[in-house]
Formats: sequence, C-alpha cells, structure tokens
Amino acid sequence: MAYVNTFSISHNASSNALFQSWCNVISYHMQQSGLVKTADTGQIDVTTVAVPGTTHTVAGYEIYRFDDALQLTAPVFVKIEYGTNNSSNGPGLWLSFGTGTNGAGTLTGLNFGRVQCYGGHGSATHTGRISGDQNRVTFFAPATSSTTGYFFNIERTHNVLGNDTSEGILLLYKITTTNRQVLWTPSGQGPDETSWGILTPSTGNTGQTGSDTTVYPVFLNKGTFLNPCMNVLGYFQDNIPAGIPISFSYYGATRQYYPLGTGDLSGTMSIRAATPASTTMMMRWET
Amino acid sequence: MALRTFTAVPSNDSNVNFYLWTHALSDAIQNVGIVKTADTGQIDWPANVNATPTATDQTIGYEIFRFNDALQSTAPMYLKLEYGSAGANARPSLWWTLGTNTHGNGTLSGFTSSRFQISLSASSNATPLACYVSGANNRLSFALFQNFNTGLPNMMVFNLERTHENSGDDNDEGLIALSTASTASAWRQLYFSMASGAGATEGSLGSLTPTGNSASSGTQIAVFPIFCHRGGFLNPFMNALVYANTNITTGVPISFTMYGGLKEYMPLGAAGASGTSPRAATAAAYSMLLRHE
Repeated sequence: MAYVNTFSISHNASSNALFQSWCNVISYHMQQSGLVKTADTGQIDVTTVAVPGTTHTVAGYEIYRFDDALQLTAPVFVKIEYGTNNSSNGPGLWLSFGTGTNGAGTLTGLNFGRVQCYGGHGSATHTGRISGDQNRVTFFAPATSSTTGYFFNIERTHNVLGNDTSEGILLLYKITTTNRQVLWTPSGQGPDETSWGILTPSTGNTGQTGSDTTVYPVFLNKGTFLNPCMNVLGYFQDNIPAGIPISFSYYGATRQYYPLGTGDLSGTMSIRAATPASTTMMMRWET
Repeated sequence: MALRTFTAVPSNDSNVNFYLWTHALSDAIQNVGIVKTADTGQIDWPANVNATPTATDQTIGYEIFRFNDALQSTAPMYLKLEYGSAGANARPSLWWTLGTNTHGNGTLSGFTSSRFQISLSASSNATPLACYVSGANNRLSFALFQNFNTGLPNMMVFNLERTHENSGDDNDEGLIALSTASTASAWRQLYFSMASGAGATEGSLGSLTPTGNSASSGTQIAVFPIFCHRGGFLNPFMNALVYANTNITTGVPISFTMYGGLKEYMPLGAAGASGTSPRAATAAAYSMLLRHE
C-alpha cells in the first residue's frame, strides 16, 4: 500500500542528539515507505549512533529491499549510509544498490559506486516529504535556498504502459546544487548524469498554452533513452500552485503529485530554461 | 518533393564566387517546389554577377518565396531571403524573414518575423564544398558548404516547415523554423503562428539528448526530435533531427521511420552542424540530420 507523509527535519549534525534525530527521521519514514528493512547485522542504531565529527564520514547504514512481485526475479537492495556532508556539522547520505546482501551489510551482485546525497546544514527545522510503495520511494528534505535542499527518487524501469520492468532502477538524487541521475541495472551502470533529462522551452518561463499546462517527464538513458520516471516530473512554478496536490493522467492512469514550488529545489530542473529558478519538480503523492 | 545538390566556393571574394553560391541556392530552392513571387526589386540574375559585398554584413539583394501547397490559400507563408556578407566582406551570409503576405515590392506584410542572419563562422574558403537543398511545395531545408572549416563547426543551415498533427500531416496553425546563426555551434528556432505571428526566438534547439557523447544501446541508435513551443510544445520538426556524431556516418544519407513514414536524412556531421544539443557535455558531439529526399 502506498505511503505518503510529512516530517520535521533539521539538517544538523552538530551534536550526537541532533545527528540521531536526523537519522531517526529518515530511518523511520523509510521503514514506513513500503520498502522493507532487511535483517542484516550491523545496521545503525539511531538512538545511540555518534556523530562522526569529520566531513564525508559514515556513521552507520541500513539495508532496504523492494517488496514487489519483481523482487523474486529482479531483486533490488538499497543501502543507505548515514554520515556527514562537506561540513562536520552537516548530515549526508550515501545510496548504493545491489541484487543481494551478505547479511552483514555488504551488498552483493553487481553494484556501482555509492552516490552521495546532501545539501547544506543549519539549525532550522523544515517540513520534509516522503512518498513510497513496495517498488519505489521519493524522499524530499527541503531547506530555504537552492543550496541546501536534497532528495532522492528510486523506482524501477518501466515499459511504455508504465508497468515496472526488471531492467533496472532509475535513480534521481541531488548533491548540493546539482541534480543528478543514473540508471542502475544488475549488469551495469548507466552514465551518472549531472543534469536531469528534462526538456523545457528556453523562453517564457511558462509551459502554458491557453488553458493547457505542460509538465515535463524526466528521461534517463542507457545510450538510448528509457521510458521516463513515473514519480517525479518537472514544471514551471508560475503554472501550478505550490503545495496543492494535482492529479492528471500519466502513463495511462490518473496519478496525484505534490508540486514542491519555489525554494530549495528550483533552479536545477531544466538546464535549458531561460530562468532555471522558474522550474521545479513535483513528486508522486498518493496513498 | 525534390532534392538539389551543388558545390560552390564559400566565398564572396569575387563577383563570380558570390554569384555562383547565391544563384545556385536560388535556383535549387525554385527547383524543389518553392515558388518565387513576382515581387519587384528582387535580385537580378544574372546581372548580379557584377556585384559582391564591399562591406561587412551587407545585403546585395533579396528574393521572396512562398509555399505552393493547399494550405497556402488559408495559411500563407512568405519567406524573404537576403544575400550578402557576414563579419568579413568575403564571408557569405543570408538573412531570412517570414511573413504572411507581401506588399509586392519585397516588403513582407501581415504578421512578420524578425530578420535572422545565417553566416559562416569563419573566413571564406577557396575549396568548393557540397551544398544540399531539399524541399517540396510545403517545406524547405538547406545546408550550405558541408565540412566547411573543420574545427569551427558551422554550415549555413536552414529549415522551414508547417506545424504538424500527431500524424505528421501539416496543419494551418503556423510555421516552425530553425537555422544556424552567425557564430560557431549557435542555433535558433522559431514558432510562427498564423493567428498571432512570431513567438519568442529560442537561442537553442529544443532537443533532449543524453549528456554523454553517444546515443546508442546495443544495435539501437537514437535520433532526437526538435520541439518548438507556444508555451506547451508543438509536435516536432519532421525535417530536422539531432543525433550523436559518433553514431551515424557524416555525409551518408540514412533512412528511417519518422512520423509514421520512411524518410531520408543527411547527417551533417561534427564539422558541419554541431552544437545541436543544449544538454550535451560536449557541444561538438551532436549534429543535425536534415531531410534529404
């Protein structure tokens, strides 16, 4: 069953308690998302973990797996490592994927280099959002400027109907101000691209014609393009009110999305937009 | 529909050379299905053999063309082409302007677009180079001076067609046009509405490619449509596509299905028409396929 929720989060690793709070928020909602936390030994105890105190240092990890029908034939295991970002006082995540685990926190099967996902840090508290199911999760940790928000989106590849396929995983993530995307498959990794595969107009800062509003799919590639992400779309901020879920037909079915609006994630959706800050993203938002 | 190819020296350094490339282009355009109007004041062939630009960015003369399809009566297209020089006297240049009518004296009327310059990005060259003109009574594409000045990619490329239905059939909504500009790897594209005139000029092509330098997977090669917009995107160009240079051999026409029909295109190559992907990490990695039949 699909899951959505909001949460309060502070991007603060300046003390053990604050770091534990940050880890706990993410861990709790990941466990509610529809993905399953594995029984691997050695996983982080978010009530006792100590902040590393140095930059880009891991303090602990968790292993999750998909829980859908394809997991039997196309298993996906996700390792989330909790630690610090480019500041010893700032938290950061690492994500990596495998087709199995050795039961002690090490992914098995072909897995590509970890990607780090983080923004800035500070003491302010923000309202984050998570949306997930047995075969996907989208995590959004906002902040107050384009330099400090971060997020990730994990979903299976799709056929033209939008049905999941066993080919691989579409990963969108953000590190500081750069949106990145990468295809992971059990047989290899696609290019780790430093912009999202979104095409928007380059003039006008709008995607509207009359009463029609355009939203923009995100395409990853393996050389040729794959069918686009289902759970994240780009849009122009002027076209859709932020914070009001919107439904429309996508991949042949009505789906609901949450427009994230201006702020921390804008400015990186479309490299072609005349004013990049005019673009932002919407995330799948339905139970 | 028809195709004309010719070779010409990309230079205005003599009256003869200026005449040869401009007249060959004009002749080819009129032979692929486009009609030259009866406007007065148009460039005088062959008397123009005695003229060549004597200054930079100088126009020597113009011609007015129109489509000749069934939609021309309800969605008229007039194209003004001006011939002249670019940033150097000897460097060939064109200007194109769209309109929905003409006063009959070389001035477009009705809705009109801005005037756009196309020119080579580098000095003239003494070597005759291949030029391609493909058209029909409802479209015009040309690419002049293939492989001009390798290392400074910029042929003189122009493509004009009507807007399309999903099926690829023309409709009367408007026109979509693209061309190179006056510097290397610089492009522009324009949507021109029959109801409201020219939309905003875009300084990049509306194509989405991978960021890497290749677009193949196994035996499959991707080519990338180009989209103009009026806020929302229109159906893409039929006669121009983007591709990765490493995937398709330059100068060897290639056929594939586009808009439900088999069509042939000329790969213009890295030295001809690169910079077509706004997203590519390397501008020279992507070029243009131009209709060639």
